[in-house]
Amino acid sequence: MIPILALMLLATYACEEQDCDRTFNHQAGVGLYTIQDSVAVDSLPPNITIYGTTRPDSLLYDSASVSSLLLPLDPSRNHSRFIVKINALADTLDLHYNREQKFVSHNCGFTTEFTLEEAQTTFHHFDSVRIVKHTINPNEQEENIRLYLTPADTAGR
Amino acid sequence: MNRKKTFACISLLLILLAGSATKTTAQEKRIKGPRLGFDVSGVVSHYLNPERLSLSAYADYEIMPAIYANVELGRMKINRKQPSFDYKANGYFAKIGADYNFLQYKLAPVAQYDMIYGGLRFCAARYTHQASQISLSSDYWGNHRGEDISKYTMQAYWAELVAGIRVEALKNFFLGWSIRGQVKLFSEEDPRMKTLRIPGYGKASRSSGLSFTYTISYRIPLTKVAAGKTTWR
Repeated sequence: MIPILALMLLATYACEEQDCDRTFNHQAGVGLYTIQDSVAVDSLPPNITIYGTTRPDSLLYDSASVSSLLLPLDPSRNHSRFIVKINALADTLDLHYNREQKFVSHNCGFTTEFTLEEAQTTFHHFDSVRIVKHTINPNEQEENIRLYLTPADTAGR
Repeated sequence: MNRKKTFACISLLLILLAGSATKTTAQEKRIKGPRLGFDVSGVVSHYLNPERLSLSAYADYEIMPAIYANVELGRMKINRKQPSFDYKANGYFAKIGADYNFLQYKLAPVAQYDMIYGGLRFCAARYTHQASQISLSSDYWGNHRGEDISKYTMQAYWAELVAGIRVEALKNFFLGWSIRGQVKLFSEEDPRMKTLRIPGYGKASRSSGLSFTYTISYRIPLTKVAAGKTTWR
């Protein structure tokens, strides 16, 4: 009898819910390139500062020297706008996308799936922008966008 | 932790009562009548998890010697509030089947109603669920309120293999428990959100599993049948 009782108790408590142990970061991966002799090469612009237009007090990159960026997408609207400063001169980068609410699990709740539709930029430092992968996979550091700088803004590497 | 201890004590008490149940003395006639009961485990489960309420009642009747027709009806309600979203579910279930009492011919032919039984159930549930206050979070942009998931109605069917004990603890009052092996036959899914629990079945994500019942029941003593005449009535 006691083993049966123990089994029943064990089964009851085994069904208790667990906490969510996952996080979901949806970030667009942006590679910085320069066209040299008709070939795209990685760029490493100095002093790059980036923030969302509505979050000027929260910098994503602060005077960094990087050749790739990870830009979080705003789940409350269909576009995110970023200010990209290189040596104090600012450009804007607009990312337009479709959003779809997706169920993850009863412990983790819901998340948003993003599909990039369009990327636009101003041209103080940038020559052009191109989407190379439209789907944003959570927690992945993939290159979704190629941002081409004018050669004058490139330190080269 | 105190709730778990209380639950363990209640379970132990139930088992001890069943084990030490007073056996009725042999009478000349065997009492027959429908037995009505309810499953205490739903109440205990609600005490341990107040967000979830599952209640069920059953009735059985000895339709042939050692064979009891059995019907169970129940209801489930979930009201789960989390930081990420609120989840509500509501539904009903029914189980129909029969039990065979392995003790029937081993005890005295009259006035012995204890059961060690096995049985089968065919089970069906109809239920709804919905979600609100959905929070979509971004470390950088902050939290955003998502689109509510409106009410969605579903059905599920499954089979259960039952094994259990039922003891007449007091005259016409029975205590018992059962263990049930469940196999899901069919269940509908909401394409927008997975079902958390199926009424009467348990976790919707599993295709098979085990469940338990602890029952208290009362037999309505409708008729008395002479010993050896426990045939179809």
